[in-house]
This record gives sequence, C-alpha cells and structure tokens, in this order.
Amino acid sequence: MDQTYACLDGNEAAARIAYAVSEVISIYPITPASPMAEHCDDWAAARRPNLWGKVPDVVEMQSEAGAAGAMHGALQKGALATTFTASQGLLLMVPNMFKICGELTPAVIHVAARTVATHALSIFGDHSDVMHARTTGWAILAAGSVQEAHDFALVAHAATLRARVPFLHFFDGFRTSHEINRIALLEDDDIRALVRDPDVLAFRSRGMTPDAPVVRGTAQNPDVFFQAREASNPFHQAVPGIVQQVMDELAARTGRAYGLVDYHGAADADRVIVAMGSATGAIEETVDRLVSEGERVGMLRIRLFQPFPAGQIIAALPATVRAIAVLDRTKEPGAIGEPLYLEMVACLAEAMDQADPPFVTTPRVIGGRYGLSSKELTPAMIKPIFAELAADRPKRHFTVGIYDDVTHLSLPIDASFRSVRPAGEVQAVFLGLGSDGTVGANKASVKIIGESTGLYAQGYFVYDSKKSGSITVSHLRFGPEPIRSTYLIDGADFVACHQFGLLGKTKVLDYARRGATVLINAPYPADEIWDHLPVSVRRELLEKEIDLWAIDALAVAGEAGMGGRINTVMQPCFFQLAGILPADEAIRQIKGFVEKTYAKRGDAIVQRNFAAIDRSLERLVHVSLAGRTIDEAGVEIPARAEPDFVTRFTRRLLAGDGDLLPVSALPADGTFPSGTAQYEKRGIAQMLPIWDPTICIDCGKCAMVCPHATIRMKVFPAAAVEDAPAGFLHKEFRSHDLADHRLTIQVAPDDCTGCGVCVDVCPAKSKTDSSHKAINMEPVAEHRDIERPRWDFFQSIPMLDRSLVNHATVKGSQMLEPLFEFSGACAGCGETPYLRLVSQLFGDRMIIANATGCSSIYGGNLPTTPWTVNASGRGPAWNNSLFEDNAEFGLGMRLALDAQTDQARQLLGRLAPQLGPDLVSGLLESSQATEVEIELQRGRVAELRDALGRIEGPAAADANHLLALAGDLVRKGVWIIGGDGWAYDIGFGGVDQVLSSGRNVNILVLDTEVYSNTGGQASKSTPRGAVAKFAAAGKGTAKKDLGAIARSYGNVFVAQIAMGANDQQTTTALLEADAWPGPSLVIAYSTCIAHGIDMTKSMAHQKDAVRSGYWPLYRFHPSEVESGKPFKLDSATPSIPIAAFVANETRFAVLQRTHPERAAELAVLAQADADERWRYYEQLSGIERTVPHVHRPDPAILPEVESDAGYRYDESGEPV
Amino acid sequence: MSVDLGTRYLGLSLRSPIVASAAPHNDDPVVAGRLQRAGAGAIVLPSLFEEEIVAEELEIARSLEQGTEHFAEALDYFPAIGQFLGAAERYLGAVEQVKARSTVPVIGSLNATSRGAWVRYAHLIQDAGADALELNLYRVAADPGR
Repeated sequence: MDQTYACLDGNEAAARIAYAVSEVISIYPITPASPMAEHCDDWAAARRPNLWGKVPDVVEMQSEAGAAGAMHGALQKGALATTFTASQGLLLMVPNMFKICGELTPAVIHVAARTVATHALSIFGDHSDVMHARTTGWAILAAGSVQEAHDFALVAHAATLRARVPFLHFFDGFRTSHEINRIALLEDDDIRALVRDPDVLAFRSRGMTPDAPVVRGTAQNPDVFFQAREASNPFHQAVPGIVQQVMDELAARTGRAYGLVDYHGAADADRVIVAMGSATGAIEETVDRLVSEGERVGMLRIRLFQPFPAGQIIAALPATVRAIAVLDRTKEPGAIGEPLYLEMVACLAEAMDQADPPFVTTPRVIGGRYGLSSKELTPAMIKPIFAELAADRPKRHFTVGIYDDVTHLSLPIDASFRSVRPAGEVQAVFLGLGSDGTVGANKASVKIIGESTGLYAQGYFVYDSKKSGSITVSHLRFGPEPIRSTYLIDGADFVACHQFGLLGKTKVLDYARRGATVLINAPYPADEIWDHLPVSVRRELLEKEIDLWAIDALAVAGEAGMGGRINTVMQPCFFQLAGILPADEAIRQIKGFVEKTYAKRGDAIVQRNFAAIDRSLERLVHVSLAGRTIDEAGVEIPARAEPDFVTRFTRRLLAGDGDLLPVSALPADGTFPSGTAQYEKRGIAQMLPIWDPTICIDCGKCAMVCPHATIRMKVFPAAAVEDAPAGFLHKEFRSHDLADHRLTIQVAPDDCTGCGVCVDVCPAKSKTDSSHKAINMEPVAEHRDIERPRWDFFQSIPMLDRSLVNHATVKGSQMLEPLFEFSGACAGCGETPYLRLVSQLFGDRMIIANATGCSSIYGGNLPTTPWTVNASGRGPAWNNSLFEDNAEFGLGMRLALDAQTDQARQLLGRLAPQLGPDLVSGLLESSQATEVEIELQRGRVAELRDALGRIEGPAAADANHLLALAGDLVRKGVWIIGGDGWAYDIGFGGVDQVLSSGRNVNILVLDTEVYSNTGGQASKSTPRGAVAKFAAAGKGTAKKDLGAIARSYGNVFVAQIAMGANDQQTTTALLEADAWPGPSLVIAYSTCIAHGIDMTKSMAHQKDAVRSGYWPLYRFHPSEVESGKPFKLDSATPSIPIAAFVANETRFAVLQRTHPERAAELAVLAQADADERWRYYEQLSGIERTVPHVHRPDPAILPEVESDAGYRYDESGEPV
Repeated sequence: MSVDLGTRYLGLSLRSPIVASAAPHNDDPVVAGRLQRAGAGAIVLPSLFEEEIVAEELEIARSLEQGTEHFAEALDYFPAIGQFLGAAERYLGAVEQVKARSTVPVIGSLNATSRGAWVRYAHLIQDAGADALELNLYRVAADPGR
C-alpha cells in the first residue's frame, strides 16, 4: 500500500483526524494541548472542509467547563463534536463527562496528558489527569508514539460511534504531544472506511429535535436510578471487542496492526513490565538489549486501559511469567497502589480464581511510579526494574528515575546501561537561545530529512522557564529504523552550541559522546577560540577527543541582514558535518524550506535567508586541538554569602542538576523561600542603560517603567557615599525637606535584560546632542565590569526612611525599595512594572493570591522567585492556587485575616488586665491609615509579644493563642492579581462574587487583552479587530467592559490605568485602591509581545492607547456624599484616531493586510466603540451617585485622620 | 472663446498641461476623481518606495517571530498568518482602481533601490494599467562609507 509520510508532532497528528470527523469543536487553551485546538482553528480559517465537506465551527469558551458544556450540547443535538485538553482542564470537564457517558453519547476528548497541580503546578506530562477521569466510565485509549496518536485518534472516533461509549484518547504531554516524528498519514478514504456512515447517521438520529422530542437529563429517585445505571452494562462490555475490530480494519488498510495489548520480548519471559504511553518505547529498547544478552524479559504494552482488557492481558502474557512490575505514571496517595497496578492485581486474582487458571502460580505483582511531570524514563532506569523482579523479595512498591532518601522507595539507576543504537543512526543535540531561531531550524531539519531522504527522524525540544533569554536544547535523531527512544539524548554524535556564552554557563559537552563532532558559534578566529573557552570546556574537549568546528555565525548573519537570527547560518553546517545529506542537496532543501515557510512574508526575508545560507559553509572552520593541554588552573570566583537553601537547592537547579537532588532536598509541602531571583545573575543583556547624571532631571520615570527592577533610583544622605568606590556616580538631590542628599540611578548589569524601555521613556536630552539622554543603551562588554562594583555599592547604601518620602508621586514611589525583582518575564513586559510598583508601595504588608498565567510563571516558576524581602525580612507573601479560583482564593485569605484579627482583638480584651490598658487601647484604637501608623502598630505588637511571653497561670493559654495571632493586629492588604484570561473569562464568576462581597480586597488585573502565557488566544478582553488565536480574522465582538460590571455594585473602587500614559494616575489609583476599605478593582493596561510591537516602545504605545481613547483612564470612587460624583475621567479627550494607534501594532496591522475589507469594517466599528465609550464616560463623570449607608456621627465631634491617599477616617477606623 | 490646452507628454495626449504630481492621497480613487474633475491633465500616483516594501516585510516577520520557540507554553503568539497584501500589492491594487475610474492618464511613480527591483516593479506597475512611469533616480554626491 502507498503511504504518504510526514513529520508531525503528536498534537498535529491527533488534531488532523479530530478535525476531519468533527462539526463543532469547542475548546479552551491549556498547555500542552492548546496546539491541537490552534491547528483546528488555522484549518477552519483556511476553510479546509471536514470529511463531509463542512468547515468545522471552532469556538473558544470561557473555561474547560464551558468547552465541555458546549460539546455536550452539540452532541445532544446530534452534531459530531470534540475537544482537546489536559490536566486541570480535564478535571473541569469531569461533571460533563459523567453525563455524556451516562447518556451513551459518542464523543472523543483528546488529551495531551499532563500533571494535575498538587504541591506545585507543572505543565509537563504524566497520567494524573486521565487517571482521575477514569471514574467517569469513558473508554481510555493510550497512544505511545506520534504514529499511535494519529492512528488511535481515528480508532477512538470510529469506535465511539459504534459503541456509544465516549472515548478519552490520550498521549503523553510534551513527550509525544510535542515530539516531531516521521509518520505515515491516514488518508480521507481510511477515515471514511472506519467512521462509517450508518454509525454517523444513527448518531444523528438520536439528536434532540422538536420534530420528535424526548426528554433527557431527568432527575431520578432511589426506586430506579440504580437499575438505570446498570442498564448500560452491555454497552461497556462490548467496547473491547469493538476497539479490536476497528484496529483490525485499520491494519487491513495500512499494515499497522495493533492489539488492545501487545506483548514484546522473550517468548519464555519470567519477568515482565506492564506499562502504557510513551514509556513503552524506552522499555521496548531495554527489553531488546536484555533479550539479546540472554535475559528472559518482556514488556506488556497496554493500549486500551478502560474497559480494562483483562482477557487479552492474560492471553498475551507468557505462561512462564513469574514476576510482573506494573509502571504507573501517576500518584494516588493513600491508595494501596496506583490505577494500572490495582487493575493488574485484580485481573490476575480473578484469572487465577477460575477453573482453569492461566499460570501455575500467581505471578508476583509489584507496582512502581515513574515519570511524574515528564521525569525521564531511560534504559538505565528500566534495567534495574528487571533486576528487582529477579530478587527474592522485591520492593512491593517502588519509584524509578529519582533518588528517594526519605521513604527509600527508589530503585538504583544503572548509569552505564544504554540501549543499542541502531546502525546508521545519528543523534544530535543543539543548544541555543530562544531568539536565535535554533529550534525553528531544527524543526525544519527534521522535516527535510524525514520527508525527503527516507530516513526516520525525531525532534524533541526542551525550553527553560524564562520568557526572555531562554536556553533551548534540541534533541534530534535520524536513522534507517523507526525511532522508539522516548527519552533525551545522552551520548550525541553531534553537538552544536549556537551561543558562545552558553559554554561554561550550562551543560554543553555533557551531551557529547567520546569522539563526537562539536560545532560552536564563536565570534573569534579559529586559532583564538581556545583562549576564550572556559577551562572546564577545554578539559571536556580533550578528554572526550572532540572533533571541533566553528563559525562566526553572528557575523555571517549580520552581513546577510539577519540580525541575531543565526539559524540559517548554522543549519548548513550541521548537514555538512553530520553527513546525512550531501552539502549541495542539503542547501537546496534548506532553501526550499525557507521559500515554503517565508515566501508569504515577502521576498526580502527569503533573500536574506538565502544570503545567510550561501555564505555559511565557506565560513565554517575546523579548530585543531592538536597539542592543546590543560595546565592552567581555573579562576576561582569567590562565592558570595547566600542562604543555605540557595546553596543546597537553588544553585543545583540553576546548574541544571535538579535531577540529581534527592527527595529530602525538596520541601514536602511546596513551600519555598522568597528572594531567590537575585542569585541568578543571568547576564543576558546585550546592551545596558548607562546613566549620565549631568543630564538627569530626577524624574524617576526610568525606574518606574523598569519591568525587572534592574534600573533603580536611590536617595541618601551625602555621608553615605563618603567611602564610595571611585567612579560611583551620584548627583545632588534637590528637595525642600531633605537637605544635603544625593541621588543615584544605577543599573544591575547582570540582571538587566537590555529591553531599553527605560531609555525610551527618559525625557531628558542633551542640549547639544538630542540623541544623548540621561540614560543611554551602551554595549554590555564595555560597561559590565564597570557597573558591577557600582551596583554592589549601590545595594549596600541603606534605604531612606519611608516616612521621609512622599509615596504618592512618581519620584517618591521610586525612592521606595522594590520587593519584586529580576523576574523571568519577557524583556519589556508590560505587566511587571505594575507589580514592581505595588511591591514598592505595599510590599511589606501584602498577601497575594496570584492566578495562573504569565504572572504565576514569572512570579513563581522554579528555580527562583522574584518576590523578595526587605532588610527587616518582610515582603509579599505569595501564593498561586489555580486559574479559575483565584478571586475566591484571595477572598479566603481576607476572610481568614479578618477572622484572626477579630480573634486577636477579643483576646486583647480578655488579657487587658495582664497587658495594661495603654498597650491594649493603643493596639485596638490605631487607625493604621498611614504607613507611619502601621509602623507604630508594629512597635506595639513587638511590645505585646514581649509581654505575652511573661504571662503565666490560667491566662497563659490565651496568651499563647494571642502570640500566634499578634501579627494580624497589623493592617495587611490582600491583593488578588492575575491576567485578563482569568479575570474576564475563567475566573470571572469568582471575581464577580468577590466584588459583591463588600470585603476589603484589591483586585489587580494585568490586562494584556489576550491569553499571553499560553501563546495569544483571544479572551473577552481582546478588542474588536485584533488578531489573536481563535480570532484569526480579527475579533468581531467588542471588548467586555469589566470596569462597568464592577461599577454596577456601587461600593467597589474601580480604576483603569496605563503606566506608560500616566504614571502619576497609576500611582494614585493603586494607593486609593489599597486605602479603600472595601473591594477594589484596578485594570492595568499591559503591553505584551502578543501585540506584535517593538517591546522597547511598550510605554510609548500606552500613550497612544490613551490619546486615541482606546484605553480611557478613570477612577470610580464610591461616595457616601449625597451629591458626590464618583466617576472621574483621568484622561483627556481623544486627540488621535484609533487608526493611528492600531497602525503600529501587528495584532491590528496584520488584519489590514490579510483581510482588508473586514479590517476596514472593524476599524469603523472600533472607532465607533471608542467614540461611544467616551461619550458615555463623559456623561458618567457628571452623574451623581451615592453608596447607600448608615448615617454617621457628626464629624465635628470626632477627629479625623488623614490617610496616605487622602482618605479621611474617623478615629474608630471607619471611612468618612 | 475656448482655448485648446491640449498637449503631448511622454507620448501621451493630455487635455491640459496641468498635471497632478505625486502626492500622498492621489492613490485614493475619490481624490483622483476630484483632481480629474478639477481639470488635471494627468495624475501621478504617490511613489512606491522599495524601502517601504522591505521595511514592512521585515517588521511583520520580526513581530510575528518575536518570542517564538522560547517558552514551552507559548511557542508562538499569533495564529497562522498566510499571504498578505504587502505595500507593493496594495500599490498595484491602487493603480488598478484609479486607472479604472480615470479618463486621464495615470502615471505610476517608483523609487527602488536594488538591482533588479527597478525593472521588476516597473513591469508590475505597467501591467496594473499605468500609462507611464515616473522613475525617481538619484545620486547622492557623497560617500556613504565615510
């Protein structure tokens, strides 16, 4: 049979089939499943029809629960529907899954199986999501490779229609979902043959219609529910037979034969491993090697997990088997064992309890956990399992792949054991930076080789958790046989390091086998390269007898006009050195690929890539290591003092040695210390902002807009710099209140990302050279060593007493210490400046509930966190729960805080006799409206703690309780932070509930107008006319006015801010939100990479957003005054048209070029939106509105206290 | 008494020697119509700059590739963007539209920079219906390398 081959990843392989057989696709994005939905959306946008000639309707919902509900509705109406999800997303679908299965409705959900969040969130792969969902009764098919993901997608869609039992089709997140492999494609005729018309028509005939109405979803009583539940038994019992039938039909058409289970290994095996998913690839390789060495081992691969194919399993196991190890890729604490283990135990027990048992003695079964969150499973880890099975008393329960020194469950790893690599296979590893195009080039190489040479090809890509300066590692294999190695490469034949700076900073040569070829991108002539290599790298080169090659790729790329994108320079070198294709043919293929990929971008891009390709090979040089020796000692960099946790834990992760950490090194409850990002010192900036004090006007805007807190302003007494190192810059600080003070603007050279936003906003220019500002971007090589000691000294200068600073101004706010620093956010991120500012204003007294999204990733992705502490050890307490529950999570914190404060106050009252009336009344009556007051209260609490320690006798119990609660007598703020995906969509129900509660919480929405973290899917915050995923032809509907909904309550403080347009209003609004003793909602315009702008100009874009009326600035102050007008517009009447703003953003500009007529229509509507909103808001500013309240005592009788933000409180702390 | 203002220019017969020279809105058919009604003998469209074409291509490519293959959850930030109308295509479309509504000659204007581009775009502008072409050739009397 003729097969068409293509190189796809698991997501695309599954999506192709799902798209072909669906009419309605309701989705919600979640890693690592989002690409399935995105492919479908792209195909629908390109009007690709399904099998029946209809273009499926792809609809993004507000959450996975919504996607499941919509899918359920579509199915009940008789439309073929599907969806794609993972992890928590699948969990949110579970209630609907019970219903769909109970109603015997055919359906398929494709899952890129991912870890369910427990002590931490993980985007990586394991089976905890699908195993949780098994109780719904859905059939579960496990694909273990990209080919199987493609084939089983069809099996699932075909079988469900025949069986009327819905199917979960899953494959391992990342390991299969994102692995590119060469597969044989199913043709439309294959799909048509298996998804049979009679089954489709029968399904349609059961759809809801008023023409023949029925009622479903009834409520039932104890008399009949049980019987009705049992009535579906025959359907579930028939599933295994139906699945095998479909698989046999597939085999007849394609030659690829699958069983519900498959045995691989020695026919007389006495030890067998049972597993499902991608691990079976690695286990199969291990079995092959061991069998070739005479061992009697085998593997049973489970493909249909549910209904559990007990009969087929017993039939497949060799009669000689004595011991079975079952591997589960999930953890269920409290259960005797994990699901597959328990099923196997029950299966064997039942089989042996028959008249004719299949084995002489019941095989011993042991259960192991592996691979949680994409932890590797390699032959070195699998071999010891077989050894354990041979032991007299093997561990009943064990783990593999880790070292467990706490409960001692782990098996050892045999690091010397590897599977036998097939003859002719090449393994290649490439290291690059995210911005250099390495991964894209490698994906192209896999496709070129897999689709034009007849060789099999595999590509798997590892990224780190940073959004800028991210290191990428590409693992590529090519060979004459199908590639089953479902683990990372160890012992590569070829290693390429595409960024010279990575050598010595991260593992590079570790990937190389002895005698490997190594290619480095080096900005030096061949004979000078050795001198620039770190000693550790030199050592490895010699010890491993590496064949070293080099190219100055940046120079070649620069000459070709490619900037920093060196991919098409490095790619021909790889082909030349790896010898997979002759160089001429490789170049021809690379150019063909470039043309195919970039022709639609225009000829300039194609030509520049061609220029890079043409110049590449002539600049490739061999670097001779002949005669080189290692006799220099490495330069010891003195270690800085750092906390013990950082040395033992954080540093190991930063060095890439996390896998080596034992279980005991990890906190059991997921609690980590703050302030670890300062130890990273990533040094990724190519340019640094360098200060010229002679031009600076002390405005503080540079520090205000810095996303990473890497350019800071500090004011200090002149005496503080008496011992400053030579060259430390400072200038006079002009102030009425602070005499003889100096000011410094200082960059943190190893933490700065070089985004350039600070320079872009600096308003101070030289009078003689207008291109020279008070800060200017300069090359890092010329300045890093100068700025390092300056930064060290700058940090040693004590912070100014906060009570001497006016927090409510831009300059004043920037004199405060940031407690959010050095995050891994994108360079120029629009969200992080707000967080940095909030940490400066309130950091030492805030508790944060942070939604999942960009802010939870740059805020809390290991190895480090940017949230930190001040010199007193205080700082934001930060927590991420889930995506959908963040507002409620934060409300819970406020409820707890209030409950504990109340209890503390009660205890104070009870202990007054022991504590004394002055201390007690001071603690109870302090308004804490200002920071000064809060600091005084802290002093009283310290005094309280002392006094409580001295209390004995019957009051001691109360004293102990009060000691535990004393801290809550100090006012704290609860901040509920997240992006628009959370606030407008999945978490909106919770946001609304919290706003309605009247409780004192501050909700900060970092509004990027799109799902930034998962790659730019549209949200209800996406504006009309913007292009986003699931809005490829421009979003047709207007942006939701979240502020309006919040304002409807009347007692919620609402503000809309944009730092780049008005940093003063931003500061004021945040202070007012904190001071408002009720719910506050602040919506912060956040520029984002998904807007397609030059991120250096982030803040300038915000100015245009406001000037055009696209983003009005306002504050809504609930007022108890009869004639109060709570709505205050803070931005001026729009002075430029919307068109002028959107022309500079690719998310709008691209639509004008792809769909010009639609863009023109939406542009008219977008301008009308802005005009109408302005007209409405202008009217609102004149409207009187009062918050219903109880009449207050005459303020003339009670003195008032003024708060930091201008609020007035009466003495009991109530607002006036 | 009416005066015949007709003349010949570039081999074209013009009803009047007053020609609307290259200006930003001449490619708008509405504006071109008004110029015609006002008596222009011919209309020169604004210049097509090769730098504009290249800058747009590079900027769109840069912004679509920005941040890609960087972070595992967001390997890209935009949906698949297919072929789009670049500056050159939009210009040629404008030539066609203005020409379709004109009774006076329509003259294209080209400002290329690279070898081959002059000829390529000249052909395209001609094929789009322009009656003549204004070539903005220039020589800078300086050495850019110094």
